[in-house]
Amino acid sequence: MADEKNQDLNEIAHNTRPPDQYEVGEADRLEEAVSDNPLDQSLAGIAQITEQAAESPVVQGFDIAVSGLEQSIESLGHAPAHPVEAMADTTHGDVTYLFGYTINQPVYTVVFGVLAILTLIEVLLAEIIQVDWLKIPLLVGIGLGKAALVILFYMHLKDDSRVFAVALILPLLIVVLSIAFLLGVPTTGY
Amino acid sequence: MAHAVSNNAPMTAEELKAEALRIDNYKFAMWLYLASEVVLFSLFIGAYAVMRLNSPEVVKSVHDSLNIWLVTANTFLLLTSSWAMVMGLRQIQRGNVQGLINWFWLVAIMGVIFMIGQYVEYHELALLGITLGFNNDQWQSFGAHFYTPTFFHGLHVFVGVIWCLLVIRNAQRGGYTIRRHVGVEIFGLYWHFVDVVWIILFTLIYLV
Repeated sequence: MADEKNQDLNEIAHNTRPPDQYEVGEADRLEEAVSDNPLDQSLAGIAQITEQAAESPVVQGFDIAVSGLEQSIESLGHAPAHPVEAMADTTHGDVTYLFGYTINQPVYTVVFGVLAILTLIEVLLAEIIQVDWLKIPLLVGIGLGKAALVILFYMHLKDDSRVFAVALILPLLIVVLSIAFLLGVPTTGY
Repeated sequence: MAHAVSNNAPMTAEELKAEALRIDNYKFAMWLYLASEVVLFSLFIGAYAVMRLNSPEVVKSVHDSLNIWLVTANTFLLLTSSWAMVMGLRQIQRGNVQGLINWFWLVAIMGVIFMIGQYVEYHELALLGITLGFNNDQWQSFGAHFYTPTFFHGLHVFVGVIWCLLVIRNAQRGGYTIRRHVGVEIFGLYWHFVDVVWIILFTLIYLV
């Protein structure tokens, strides 16, 4: 009796394939092959629905999101294996490649040039534009862009661990949400 | 007998790993400190932004009185000092200690000139009656919202200049090598953060 059971289990194990060997469209063939047994028909129906669901945009979108999350988590805590060599491209190089052009200056100098030009543009725009609805978003946008350049290139956040970015962004997010909340609360008269 | 280890001797994989971990720990600690500064300056900036939206006419009249070119020159000083800072870091990463010292002297000098420029600006504003607001109802709100973030930033520049001088002294004593210069990087993070804060303050307070 026990030998018979083991033989069945061996047969099941032998016939069971890993998920990556499952062929698309197999549910259709399964449906053709099934008998009139209601259990077989139910299983074939479930297989059919599962296949259709796997192809739906919702499931595919979810799959992409999960993959992205996995990659983000894997990148967290990433430390350069060779600290001195890791920065070689950004600190030791005497040439910068920008939009297909080759500039014979280190990237730090190129970033400084961009910052200087953006600052001049900011000041000129502030003198020229008089309407707030255009002036405020434009200048704040340029200012944030300049700040991002310093953080990414001068503070090396572009190359460093993503954990450092979390340490910067998380408190900023909390403060912005807190200020928004406080502004949204009606005044109590005090 | 102590073993003399050459600074240029190749590091083993274990040493490289240990050094990477050490640098990352120091840097992470600095980023956490900077996170607290982010909260502080965000509150100042938020308070100013609310005042700016509620009293646009006051801000506009102050802008008309301000010498924008003096502040722009000061902004260029800080941007240039940040550039000098990374160029100094680049030198020590190439093993050139004297290059680091030269660039950092430039950083310290520009920091001092920035503070002098800020003093001149405060003096000009005070002559116009734009002070912290004692006995002056018109500018009271603006004064508090303007002087608090800009003075606090100036205080950070002052601390940065002192820190820069200490880094220079440490470099002169041979404290940094091509492989061990995390102290320079940590100071760099602080100085660039001060620059980032000024970039935001300059746009928000002086231009918008």
